[in-house]
Amino acid sequence: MASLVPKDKRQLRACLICGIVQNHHTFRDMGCPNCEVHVKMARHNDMVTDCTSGTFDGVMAVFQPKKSWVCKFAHVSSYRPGIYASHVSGRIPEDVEDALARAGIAYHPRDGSADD
Amino acid sequence: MADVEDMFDDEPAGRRFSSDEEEDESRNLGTRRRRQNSGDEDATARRYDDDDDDDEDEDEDEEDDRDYKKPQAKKGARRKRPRTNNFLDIEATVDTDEEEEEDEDGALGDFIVDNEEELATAEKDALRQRAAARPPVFQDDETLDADAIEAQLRERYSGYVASGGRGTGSQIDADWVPQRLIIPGINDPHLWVSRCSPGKERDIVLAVGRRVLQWASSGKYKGVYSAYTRSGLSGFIYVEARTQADALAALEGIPGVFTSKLTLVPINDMIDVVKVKTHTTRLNPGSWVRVKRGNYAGDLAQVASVIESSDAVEVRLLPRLDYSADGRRDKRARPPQRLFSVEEAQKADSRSLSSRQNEILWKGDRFINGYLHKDMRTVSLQTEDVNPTLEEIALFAAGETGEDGDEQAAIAALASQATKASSALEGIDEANGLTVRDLQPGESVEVVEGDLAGVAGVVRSIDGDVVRVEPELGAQR
Repeated sequence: MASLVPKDKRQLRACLICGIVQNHHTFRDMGCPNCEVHVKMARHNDMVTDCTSGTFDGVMAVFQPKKSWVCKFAHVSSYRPGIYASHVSGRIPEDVEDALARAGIAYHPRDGSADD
Repeated sequence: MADVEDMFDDEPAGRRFSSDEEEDESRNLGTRRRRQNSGDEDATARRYDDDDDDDEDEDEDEEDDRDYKKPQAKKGARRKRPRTNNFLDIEATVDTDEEEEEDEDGALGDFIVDNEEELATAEKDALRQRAAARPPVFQDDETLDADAIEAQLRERYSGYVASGGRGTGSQIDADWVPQRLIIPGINDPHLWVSRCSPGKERDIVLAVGRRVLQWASSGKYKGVYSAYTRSGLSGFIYVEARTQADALAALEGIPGVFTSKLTLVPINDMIDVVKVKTHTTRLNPGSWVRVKRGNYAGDLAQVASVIESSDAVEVRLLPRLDYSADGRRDKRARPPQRLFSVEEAQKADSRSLSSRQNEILWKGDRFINGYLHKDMRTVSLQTEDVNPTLEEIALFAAGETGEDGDEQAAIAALASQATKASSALEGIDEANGLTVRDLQPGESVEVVEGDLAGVAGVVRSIDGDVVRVEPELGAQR
């Protein structure tokens, strides 16, 4: 799991659902490590474009997500260690949101648009 | 009488219910969960059990159980005798029922029997709902802190989540605690802040990330929980660790970090560090922006449309085109802003010219109504304090009405067709509702803001952003 930290500084994107930050090509080749089960991004470039964003802020390196208060606050404490963004601009398309809801998962936008 | 008793028993769920009651040591919702999951191979529910809850949570849950168990206990005991029902007084009917059943006849007997079962299920459901809806106030303990609330919420709502195919070790958050409840407590790690070179914050976070994650197995950095930075906090890098030594260990040796300035962030300030305020300026079609760089730097532009899930927008600009052959242009001086001229383009380089619907393509640029339409990234546009001057807007709007000039006439001819097409297009594309461009003279509108709010009227003319409305008679005060 050496590639927890994106190697390339350019083309960084953040997943709109879980907030993980990876290179664009990583999303395209391997998808999102947290969300891939529900949102198939690997080899679906349009899904990558729809469900990740290049505009993000609050970059954090997560080592112990369950014990970290910062991670709890940024709602990433249930995910794997890696690089995350506390704030990601944009929302997933409605059909993806519906698909997630059908699977029982509530989507919480990470762009601060929801009432927290 | 065996048949009769079977009738009173609900479907298999009922039987399981009674056996669970005896075995069930954990939360009431666990029972519900177990029943739900009987058909599913899902470890999720069990995972919630395994979650590290505080001891006090266990105690509270025991109390809950005591409350919740009462109705169940009652039901178990009641099962021995003929079923009574909270909703109907049918004790009398019960006896008659048995007699009728022996007749194996009587539609009436069947009818009552069916109702029995339904009522029994309904009663069970109602009891369950009542038990689940019991507010936390009824729990007799003092104020719960955020952790306890979180655990309770998680557990209370865990049964509502359908089992999905969750990946091993990772899951999409099913329990969302609002940020205002996530207050740093004394058991949480400390947040340490250090100065660093401005602009290098993200690189440093990545470097710390790489270092700690690489050496995770060595245990050298096990005191570090996260590293963080934010664009509003330029020159600062944050590390979450229990001791200053741990934070220092994570940071030292990384280029660009000034570890001599490592200090503790007071608990009350921790939230301010992580909480990000959303950008209030959301770009909508019709908004004014200024181009930051390039040939059109400083020029006023109007957002034509927002490109979904990308940090770019399509803007409308007054073209600054040099129609003369290349090489003669003075690299320093910019061509003046002028609407696109088909003729001049044709003279200069007709091969690059083509048209498609209402768009004119020339040398790779798109022109609609004489305006250049360009997709630009939001970061390369100035969205705040744009303050368009009257002259700029007038210059911009001049293209819409198409005034004097031969070239303008040619464009106007194109434009009249183009306007209809583009406004129709925009009507479809528009995610945020109608823009001014969608309005046609003759349409009915109503004023929503200002002292004339509520007045209905008819659109007489549209001039850029300004719509002239003639109020309906009788609406005037």
